Amino acid sequence: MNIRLLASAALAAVLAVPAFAAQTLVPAKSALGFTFKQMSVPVEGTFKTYTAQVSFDPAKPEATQATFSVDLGSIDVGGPDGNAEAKKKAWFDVASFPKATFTAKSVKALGGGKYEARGPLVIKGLSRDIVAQFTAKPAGSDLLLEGGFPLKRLQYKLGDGAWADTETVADDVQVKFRFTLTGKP
Amino acid sequence: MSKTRYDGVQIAFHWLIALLIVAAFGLALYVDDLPLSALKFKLYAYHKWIGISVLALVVLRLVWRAWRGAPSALPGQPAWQVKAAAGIHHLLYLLMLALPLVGWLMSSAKGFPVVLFGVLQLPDLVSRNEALGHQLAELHEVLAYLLLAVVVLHVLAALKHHIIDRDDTLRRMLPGRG
Ligand code: HEM
Ligand code: HEM
Repeated sequence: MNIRLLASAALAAVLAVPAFAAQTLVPAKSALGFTFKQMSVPVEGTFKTYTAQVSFDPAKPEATQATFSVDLGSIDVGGPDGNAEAKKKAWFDVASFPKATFTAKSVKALGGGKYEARGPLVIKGLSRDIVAQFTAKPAGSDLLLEGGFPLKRLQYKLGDGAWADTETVADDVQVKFRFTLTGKP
Repeated sequence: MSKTRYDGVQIAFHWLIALLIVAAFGLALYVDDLPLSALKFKLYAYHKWIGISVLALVVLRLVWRAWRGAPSALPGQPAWQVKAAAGIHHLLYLLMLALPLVGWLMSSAKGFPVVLFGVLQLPDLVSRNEALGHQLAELHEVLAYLLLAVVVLHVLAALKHHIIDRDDTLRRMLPGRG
């Protein structure tokens, strides 16, 4: 019985690792943040916890396979009140939707070390296609991906109801990321 | 240049600034108790905009006062009263400058810069520092209540002049009858 449990756990672990997960994200050398305007005042926030399964070769971007998963409960907008508010139903509704995911459907080179990734970003159960631009640079033996993309918070029902007023909290959010990948694609 | 009245500009400054201070104060007390909401963000921004306007107006008012002077004390008052009035006026000017300045410093320290009227971003006076932000918030509160106390004293004195002494003190700070 114990053996069977172990065996199925091992199988599940093997199955959970997608075949393309050749590179690993180095959390200590990565960052995921966003900026938006509140009463015209620029405000910054971050997510502390996220995982990624990536196979990205700067020489063959078309072959990229990548999924990212962000633990929305790890949000930090700079204060305990704001952090508590961001997890509530009107915002990320973390109790019902703990994670946001992004899957790269296509990646192409723009030239000059720049790339463009397209694919669905799912937040709060709502899927919207986004276009992220980033650069890829070697950093020692690692690969550093740096870039960002704009999104409209109301397309994901972030800040529903009384918060929908975009004069107070702007609709435009700029997401910025710095991902350090280690290993060969 | 011995004037007997405050000039029109000084009178306008006095009452406009007094009005804005009362508005900033009332707004802060109301907003403090609101739950985190879009309305709270909005009203805090208004509080800051009003406060910074007070700072700017007080600077202009002092420039005007230095240039045009102020009427000397009404005759027939005991010397201690003249001194007390001058002292209170100095303290009022000091607090009218310090209170919004501390508010501005606090905003900088909290990493939440002031964007005046939603268009003009003011420079940060200090870099982000949460502990300092909290201390400045406490100082801001202490200075606000100190200003309230001094204003109450100032208003009581003005009313005493008007109702008990029946002199021209209040009238020379009121518009009209030159
Ligand atoms: C005439 C000018 C001002 C007056 C009379 C005033 C008065 C007050 C009062 C009474 C409070 C509530 C204190 C409490 O009970 O906690 C307050 C809070 C506050 N004020 Fe002002 N203020 C002025 C200017 C400013 C300015 C210029 C700023 C920023 C640019 C500012 C930012 C704030 C902030 C952020 C709070 C909340 C502090 C906290 O508790 O976290 N104030 N103010
Ligand atoms: C926030 C409220 C107020 C502030 C900050 C304030 C501040 C001041 C200051 C700084 C002066 C000196 C003017 C100068 O010589 O340059 C002054 C004068 C004066 N204020 Fe106020 N004031 C306030 C409210 C009031 C109110 C409500 C009254 C009336 C009830 C009043 C009556 C007067 C009078 C009569 C003078 C002239 C005093 C004199 O001739 O020596 N003030 N005020």
